[in-house]
Amino acid sequence: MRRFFSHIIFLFILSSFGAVAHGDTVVAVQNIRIRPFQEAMRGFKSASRSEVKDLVISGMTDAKIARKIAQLNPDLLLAVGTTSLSKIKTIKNIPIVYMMILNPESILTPEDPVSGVSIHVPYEMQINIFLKILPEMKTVGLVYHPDRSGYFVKKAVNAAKKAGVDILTEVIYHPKEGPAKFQHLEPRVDAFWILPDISVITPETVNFLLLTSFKHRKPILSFSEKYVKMGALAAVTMDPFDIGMQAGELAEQILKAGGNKGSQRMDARKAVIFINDKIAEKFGIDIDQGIRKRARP
Amino acid sequence: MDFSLIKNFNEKLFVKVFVLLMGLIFFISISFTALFVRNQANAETQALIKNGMVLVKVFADTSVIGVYSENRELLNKAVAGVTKVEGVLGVAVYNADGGLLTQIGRTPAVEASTINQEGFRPWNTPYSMEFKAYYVFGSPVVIKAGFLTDDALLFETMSNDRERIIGFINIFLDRKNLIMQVRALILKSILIWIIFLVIGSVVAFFLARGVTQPLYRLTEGVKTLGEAGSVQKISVETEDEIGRLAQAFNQMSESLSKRQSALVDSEKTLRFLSGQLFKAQEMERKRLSIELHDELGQGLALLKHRFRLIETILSKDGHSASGECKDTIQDIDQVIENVRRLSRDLSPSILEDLGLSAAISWLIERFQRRYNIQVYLDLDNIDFLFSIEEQTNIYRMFQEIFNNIGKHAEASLVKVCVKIEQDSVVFVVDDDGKGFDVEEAKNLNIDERGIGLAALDERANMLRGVFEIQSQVQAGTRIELKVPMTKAEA
Repeated sequence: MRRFFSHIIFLFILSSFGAVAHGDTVVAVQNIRIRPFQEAMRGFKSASRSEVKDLVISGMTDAKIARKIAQLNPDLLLAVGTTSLSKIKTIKNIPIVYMMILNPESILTPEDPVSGVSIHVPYEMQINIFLKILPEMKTVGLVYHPDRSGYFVKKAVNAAKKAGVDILTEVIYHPKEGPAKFQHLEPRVDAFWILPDISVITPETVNFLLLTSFKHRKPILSFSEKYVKMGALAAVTMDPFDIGMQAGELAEQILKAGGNKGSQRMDARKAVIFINDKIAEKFGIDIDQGIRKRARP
Repeated sequence: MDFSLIKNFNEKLFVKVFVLLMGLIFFISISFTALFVRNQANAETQALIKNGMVLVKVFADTSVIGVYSENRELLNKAVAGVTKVEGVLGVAVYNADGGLLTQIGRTPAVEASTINQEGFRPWNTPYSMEFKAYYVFGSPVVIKAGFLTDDALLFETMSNDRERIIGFINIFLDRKNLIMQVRALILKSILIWIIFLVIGSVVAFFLARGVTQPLYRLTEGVKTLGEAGSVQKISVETEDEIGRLAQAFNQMSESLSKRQSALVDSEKTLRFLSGQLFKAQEMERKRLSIELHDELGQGLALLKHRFRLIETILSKDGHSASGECKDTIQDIDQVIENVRRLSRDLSPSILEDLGLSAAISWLIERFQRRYNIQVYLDLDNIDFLFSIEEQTNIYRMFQEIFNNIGKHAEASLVKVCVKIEQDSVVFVVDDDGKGFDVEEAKNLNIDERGIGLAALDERANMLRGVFEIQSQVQAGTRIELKVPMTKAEA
């Protein structure tokens, strides 16, 4: 009940201030200040000519967030991260652009007039890079939670199939099933592919997977530099700065169009590659020089 | 045996000191050994507990994946490693709800039932429990909570480091090894204790000897001083109280030695003087005897001859005075006889004329006649066995002895035995008189006891003989004189 009233007040304040909003002021709403977000913000500012004001909403009530935004009177709201988007997605009279979100579809409906750039690197791009790293790779093992990653896995399987790679999948409904599923996949695959799914990516499962990888010389293809450092062969991930730039460009288009640009939701256009040379050497994998040059140290 | 030990303890300072030191060493060594064993046993126990705790923590880490996935196959791989560790009886693994995931090896029924009875106990930290035959070590299996959102997986800084318990493990460790180690430790300690005791006893022996030896030497010195009158210096090895006592003893011994020496010198002088006195006495007696015999005897003989002529003349004339003359001649004969006896008593010419045996026989004969006491004589021929001075001394001793018997003993029978024994002559005189207390007589001062006994002692000394008087009141007296022969038997 209390939440309902705060929403009413929030919308009232927004609509009363929205009438006087104009042009080139962007309020970047962040829940926390972390390095990837800051990097993305730099990218955004480099691509946008608008004045960007930061609003950190950690610990704020919805009403207070609304008041703050009303005071700042922006022409566009930039939601940085999933939490920020969740908090401001209901604002209708100010165009919203999101960035640094993995799965915006889990928050937004297709009808919501919200645009943005996810941190998802298209699977076609990922598969092509992985194949350049492991040209002999025919089958890849993948474990996932259907409710959490089913949509992505479907896309990944299709993308892989197009590239001539079979993805063997195992479904789990509880994180504790992870190790056994990977163990079950191991004899049948050339490599493992891990996706950002918290049901699968637990410290224990990752440890087990790393041990299995070392033991059977089955490389792990990952989505984060972190796991490359831990022992995965390679990772294909987004570039926060470029995501910011992408979002900045999108924001400029929306502002130019007077905020009426519909919803434009796109994936990351640029991939960053990380390769663990030591693992490659240990596994006897000769990495393509072109890819090696593209990879970040 | 026990009695002799107590006796030795009571009588010997060495035994006392040794026993005291040994008691001290025993007490100290047993205390230290007990303390050492206790500390070591505690240390061993603590080490076992520490190792057990390390093992259980390591096992908690290695079993994380198995517990997390509740996969028996994965879990058994981790468990198998632990059960190979020496002393591990068994292992039990539970999930977060207390459900048994796996149980390998021997997990004793007692603590299994303990756990069951108390219900599953979700300990938050590693722990250990001690049972009679084994230890139980337990630990929670902990993981980090991980990530809350899929996005967070891409941003390291958004990870959730909060820990959560996903299961529990128990390791059962056998105490047999610990007990064996403690037993071995006790045995070693006892061995060291015995060696220490042996070394300690040797040290105690030498220490006790070091303390008591000077005292023994002092005691022996005092004893020797008491018996022999002098003693060699006792070596002073220390500067402590005993050393100072030995030094004082040496000074005292030296002083006593000097006094003893002076006394011996005085005694020698006294002997010489008394010998000279006896000689002078004998010479004076001889001179008196000769004077009496030659002058008085000749004068009386002449006087008697003249009275006989007077009596012859008077009797021819029929004078009445001739009877008086006859009486006077008889009186003069009596005087002459007395003078002769006195002369013989003063200087027994018989000794020089007929020898010691004859002189003793004559003396006894005269004693019998004078005192009317029966005397049995058993006399070897002892003539020419002694010098004239020695013979005189022996004769004078007999004279004194018989004089005493005659005057004081009230005896009725006297036995005299003179026998030659190897290189000496033994003179024994037994009487059945009233006897006397010898010690009492000896303790009397010179005025009360007279010079008789003292003269007998002195003459025996001059003869280098052994003189002994045995007597009891109303039991007679036995006098024995043993004199070494100075001349070969003729």
